[in-house]
Amino acid sequence: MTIPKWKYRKNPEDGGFQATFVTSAAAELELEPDWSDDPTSTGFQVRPATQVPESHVTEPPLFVPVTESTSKPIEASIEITLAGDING
Amino acid sequence: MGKSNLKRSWRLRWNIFKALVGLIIEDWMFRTGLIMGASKLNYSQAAEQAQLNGTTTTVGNAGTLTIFSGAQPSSTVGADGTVVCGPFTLGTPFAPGASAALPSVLSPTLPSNVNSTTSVQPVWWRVKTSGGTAVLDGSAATSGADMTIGPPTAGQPVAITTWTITSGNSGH
Repeated sequence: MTIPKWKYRKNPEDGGFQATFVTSAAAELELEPDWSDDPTSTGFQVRPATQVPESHVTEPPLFVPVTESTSKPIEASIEITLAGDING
Repeated sequence: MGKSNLKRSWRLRWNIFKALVGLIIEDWMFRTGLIMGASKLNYSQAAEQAQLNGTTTTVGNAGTLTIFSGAQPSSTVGADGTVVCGPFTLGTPFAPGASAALPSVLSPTLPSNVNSTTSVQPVWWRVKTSGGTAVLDGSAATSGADMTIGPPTAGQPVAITTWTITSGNSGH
């Protein structure tokens, strides 16, 4: 992937989603090997950020984990009682 | 034989006659279907457990769960609705073994969150095999349905938090 670009990893310290922007090949080489071009390699479900940081408005899209959304996931529960097999 | 004993004897005969006629009529009504007996099926614990484990076998590995809007078809042969969310990829296997209890309980492995595609209230859901064959479907609503779920927001994740399939109660 061409530079500049975003790199991603699962933060080894707190397990959170971590993104960094590299602007040169030298800067990329300095990164630890767990940084990846693929945001999904972190194990997080991701979506393109709706707002790219102001300093990078002209740069490639940043991905953020869906769990960083301002909305909590809507929860669903399934409970099925099989009917017709027993008559009480 | 005195008069009173004679009366008693005729009353006894009359009662026996009425009982016999009643039995014959009742038997005839059962045979002709005029009297419908209530079903009182009882299944053993092993049979109920096997029934639930059969669901796991039928769904197979990496089945899918999809949540729809629109009317739920009358059977699993009916067409899918409009996708609200999914497909979720289900577990491999679909669920651990059903509990050895009465009623038996099957607890499918919960899938990872999937983003909603629309913001409308889900109405029903369907589970399919990985090959796309529908196995079971059920209702979805904010309460009183097989799936409890409110309206999601398009682009935002939906999480299945609990999932239990319970066999019927035992005994009548």
